[in-house]
Amino acid sequence: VHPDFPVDTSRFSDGQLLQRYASARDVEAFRAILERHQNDLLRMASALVGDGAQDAVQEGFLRLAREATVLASQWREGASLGAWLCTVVRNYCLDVLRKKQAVRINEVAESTLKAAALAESADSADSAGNHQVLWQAVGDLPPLERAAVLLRYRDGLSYEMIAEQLDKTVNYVGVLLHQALQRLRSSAALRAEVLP
Amino acid sequence: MNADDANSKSPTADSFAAQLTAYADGALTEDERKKIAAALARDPALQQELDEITRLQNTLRAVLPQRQTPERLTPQRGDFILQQAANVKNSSAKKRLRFSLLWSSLAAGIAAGFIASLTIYYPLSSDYSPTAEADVATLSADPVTEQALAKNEAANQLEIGDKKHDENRDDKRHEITAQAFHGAPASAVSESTTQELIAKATTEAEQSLGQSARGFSAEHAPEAKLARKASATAAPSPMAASAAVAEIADAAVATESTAAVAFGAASEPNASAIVEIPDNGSARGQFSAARSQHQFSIIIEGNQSSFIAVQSQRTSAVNLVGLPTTTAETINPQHFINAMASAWNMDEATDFVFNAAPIPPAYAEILAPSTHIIALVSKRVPLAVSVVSAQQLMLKPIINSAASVLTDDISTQGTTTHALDKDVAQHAARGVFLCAVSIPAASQSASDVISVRVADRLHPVIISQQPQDNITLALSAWLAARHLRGEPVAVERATIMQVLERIHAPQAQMVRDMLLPPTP
Repeated sequence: VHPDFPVDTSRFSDGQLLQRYASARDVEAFRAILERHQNDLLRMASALVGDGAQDAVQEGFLRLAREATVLASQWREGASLGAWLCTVVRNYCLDVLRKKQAVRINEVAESTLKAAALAESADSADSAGNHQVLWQAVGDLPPLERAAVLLRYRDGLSYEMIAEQLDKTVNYVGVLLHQALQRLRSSAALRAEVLP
Repeated sequence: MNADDANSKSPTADSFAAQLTAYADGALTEDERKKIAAALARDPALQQELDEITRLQNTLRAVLPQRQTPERLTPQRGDFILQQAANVKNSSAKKRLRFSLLWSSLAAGIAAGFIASLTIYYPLSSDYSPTAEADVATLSADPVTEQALAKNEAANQLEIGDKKHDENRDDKRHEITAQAFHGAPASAVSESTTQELIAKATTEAEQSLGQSARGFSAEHAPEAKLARKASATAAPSPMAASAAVAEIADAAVATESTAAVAFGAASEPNASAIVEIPDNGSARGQFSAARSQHQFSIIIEGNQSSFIAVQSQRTSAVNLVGLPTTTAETINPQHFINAMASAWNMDEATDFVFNAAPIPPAYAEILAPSTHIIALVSKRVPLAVSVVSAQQLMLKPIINSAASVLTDDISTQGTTTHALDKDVAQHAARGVFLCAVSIPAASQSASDVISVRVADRLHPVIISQQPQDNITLALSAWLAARHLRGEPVAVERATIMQVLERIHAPQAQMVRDMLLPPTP
């Protein structure tokens, strides 16, 4: 329960919170929505655009604020605000990827690498080096394959959850992961350093 | 995992190998798992493959989680979002106020423009008097258009430009045309053969095109001035005008205006389909069905309650916009002028107008199978490209705004509030495609003849009447956006014809009756 918000927002559904915000501009209701969904959104966005995830998620919530009235008026039983937000953020990420197509996707990998290397500073130099090679190879994957790999092997999501987050079928997620693993296995650097 | 399904999603994927990956991940059903296990028992090489996959998966699981994503937005971002969320209300109210002012001004412009158009258009369409034409010339204030007219003067046998020299010739032509149109009594028309009807309609189409081209500048100059004035009232500077355009988009969403659809369509990056849903069942169910199949849908429902639903891949926002009910009682064909929308290459169009270049054979063939009309069309149709009839004045800023969305930089010029011909040149300089083309026709049948000819030859064409002009606009903006991106405009002709039939079935039937030989 938020200290300034006497009502326990946890007992409100997303739809109720949305209606509350849309009708009375109740910022605490909006805050509850934000708290409820930001983690999932950040995870999915980071799998797609790395450090751009914060921008993407911010855009998703700003869009929600702008369109809350329309969204609330069209709200139906069983609708999922999480799915709506997920789609907004995902599409933002895909837009970013499209716009930056000319830019090496390794930018994402590089920023990820730095953080990973930092986290691994306690490890041996060899181990850190191997991990960097692995991160580099993962960063070189096509965006959707990379996202599937990160969501599966970093975040431990099931195929079904990955499918939901990427708006693909479960079968397609299987294909994405298979292709990603094939690419990684065929990576010469990875074979030499990580998978001898 | 279903192998067939997986294959259908990705033809390149080896479904069995993909299942092997899923097997290693523990993501198969029991039956699938048993199947793979049996295969593994039979094939040592497959077992080795599985071992490699498993080893890689384990490595990934060991390494990748070392860098977890932040679970929360940074405090600054969180505060910023909440602050914005708190301010949305005031912002919306302000936008609505400005939106109201803008549209009020435009409404005043419409009223004045309509009166002006009545003054100009009806004398032109009814009696073709030289005096009226002279008035038109006087009112034609656009120097670029006049220059274009002058350029075409020498070569064009049906040229209108120099009124002093052409009045007699025009009078004669008008007499002939009027005779063809109006001379025959109704009984005679009913006894005419199909071919004769086609000939009549063709002549009428020719007249419409010529009239449209001739009257373009004058017909729209007054309303353009009024509209500009209206816009200036709401937007005192080019930048403000640009901002106003953006606000129209926002306000349109806020007020559930159909204008939002046009904007959504124009900015849609992943449009993939247009779907027409039969008029049965609930709109919600239909929309859900379409949404599950297409990233982008424009759904046109039946006559009793029309909806346009746009799911934008960019925003994922579902704008279910209720249009005014368009029942048979509310549609009076006499009040509407058909509009023909398609994605036109403005570079080409401008070349035709300003450089007197011949119209491409494809267009000429579409618009005018007869050589007689080609001669006229080759000189004049481009002028009609930017024509929006007086009744459609409200659509001008929307069309231009859609064009602005396509280019991002045009609205800052402040001169593109309305798609007049000199603006066309500016658009063309940027390689912009105009979203909509409107050819006001002297009569319903003439317009339909043109429209059906276009629909028969071109896929990216949608035909609509005024009540559906927002649909037209949305579709054309969508088409233009795809065209701009070099993507195929995958609209099936059958779909277009269905839309056409749905929108104005009576007119379509009439045209079919005219164009197609009677079935024995």
